[in-house]
Amino acid sequence: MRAHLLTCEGCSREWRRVSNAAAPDGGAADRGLLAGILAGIESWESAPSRTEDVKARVGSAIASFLGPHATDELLGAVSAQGDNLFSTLEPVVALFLGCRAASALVDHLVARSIPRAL
Amino acid sequence: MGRFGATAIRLHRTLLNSAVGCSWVIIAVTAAYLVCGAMAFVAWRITADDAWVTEFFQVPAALAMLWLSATQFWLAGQAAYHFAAGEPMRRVWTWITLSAACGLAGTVSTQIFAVKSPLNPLMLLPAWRTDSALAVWHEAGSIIGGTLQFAFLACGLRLAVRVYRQAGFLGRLKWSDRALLIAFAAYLVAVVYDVAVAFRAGKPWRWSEAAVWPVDPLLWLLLLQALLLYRSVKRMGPGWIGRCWKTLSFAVFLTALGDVGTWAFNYGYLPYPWSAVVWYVWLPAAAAYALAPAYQLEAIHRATGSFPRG
Repeated sequence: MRAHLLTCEGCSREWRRVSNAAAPDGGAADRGLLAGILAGIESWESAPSRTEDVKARVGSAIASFLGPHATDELLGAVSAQGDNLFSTLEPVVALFLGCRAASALVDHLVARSIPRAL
Repeated sequence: MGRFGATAIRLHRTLLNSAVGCSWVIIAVTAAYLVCGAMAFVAWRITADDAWVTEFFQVPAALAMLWLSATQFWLAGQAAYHFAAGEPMRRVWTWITLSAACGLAGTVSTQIFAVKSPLNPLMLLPAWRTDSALAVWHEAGSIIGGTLQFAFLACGLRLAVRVYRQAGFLGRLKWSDRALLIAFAAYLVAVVYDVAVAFRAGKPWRWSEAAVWPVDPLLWLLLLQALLLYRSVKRMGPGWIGRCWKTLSFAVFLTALGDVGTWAFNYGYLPYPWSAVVWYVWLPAAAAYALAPAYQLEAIHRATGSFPRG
């Protein structure tokens, strides 16, 4: 293998990359980034207030179309994690405004509400 | 051909966008007409010259009714176009567009061709100036703009009620709604009684009159549907979607009110000259019919972002 690595440029480059990542100080930047992402996910999942914040933002925007009572009723059916938020609201909006308009509205709300809550 | 196609697409988009945000124009024009109508009414009462009111209804009010009917037809067609084939609201707005087309034809027939006014181009032809010719236009307009218009509207509203039920937000009638429906049913009985008395007194049978008889039962059905839609909107709370259906419910309510008022006027139940107030009901009713699709379009355009979302 050593003899092959001496002659093959592609394999020797790959070997150096793997060796650096396995080294105690190699790939520290990547691991730091990964740890940050994992911490962010954990923090997001353990913070119900953020889910509530997104639900409130989306609910407020949807209420201007459906009405506040209907929106409250629909949000009551959304899980605590909010994972079915848009799948609960979009079909009802689509019934009244059409799929094209409902889809555009949900795209807008996803783009506007979630980054603000992060 | 390519340039022609591109121009046609641009024109189509411009017309589509022109339909957006026109609700305030409809409200402003109707309000201006009502103010003018009120002034004509006051002038009639002060001068004792009824030409103030008759001329107001023959020319400016007839033009306003024509414009509002055409606007309703145009906007309802646009609303239907914005839904994809197979979507429930596409069918709702298609029926309402058909109803609006009949309303427009009825308005042209009864407000323009059936009246001896400067707006009637048929007055240039001697054969069409006779009272019998004008009566034919009036009867045709009453059938198209009455029975047919309300039948198509009832089909549309039935589907709209179904959409509210499908969404899980169908409202329930209150006791006041039931009382209103019972009162209108009593009015239907009174109309049937009047017709029966007229026939017993020797009134000849005419198909053109019989073709208009379904108008009142259809209005009862429309009133029921409108009340259901109104209660559904109240259940959902104020919003862009509800505004459309609440306005359409209001239009149906005004139509029913105008119908009862016209009957009361014809049979002498309303004292003169205050019975003339009934004539003013049709303008806001026509405006409400035109506003409903305008609000539907505004809701769609707000959702897609082509109109400020607010």
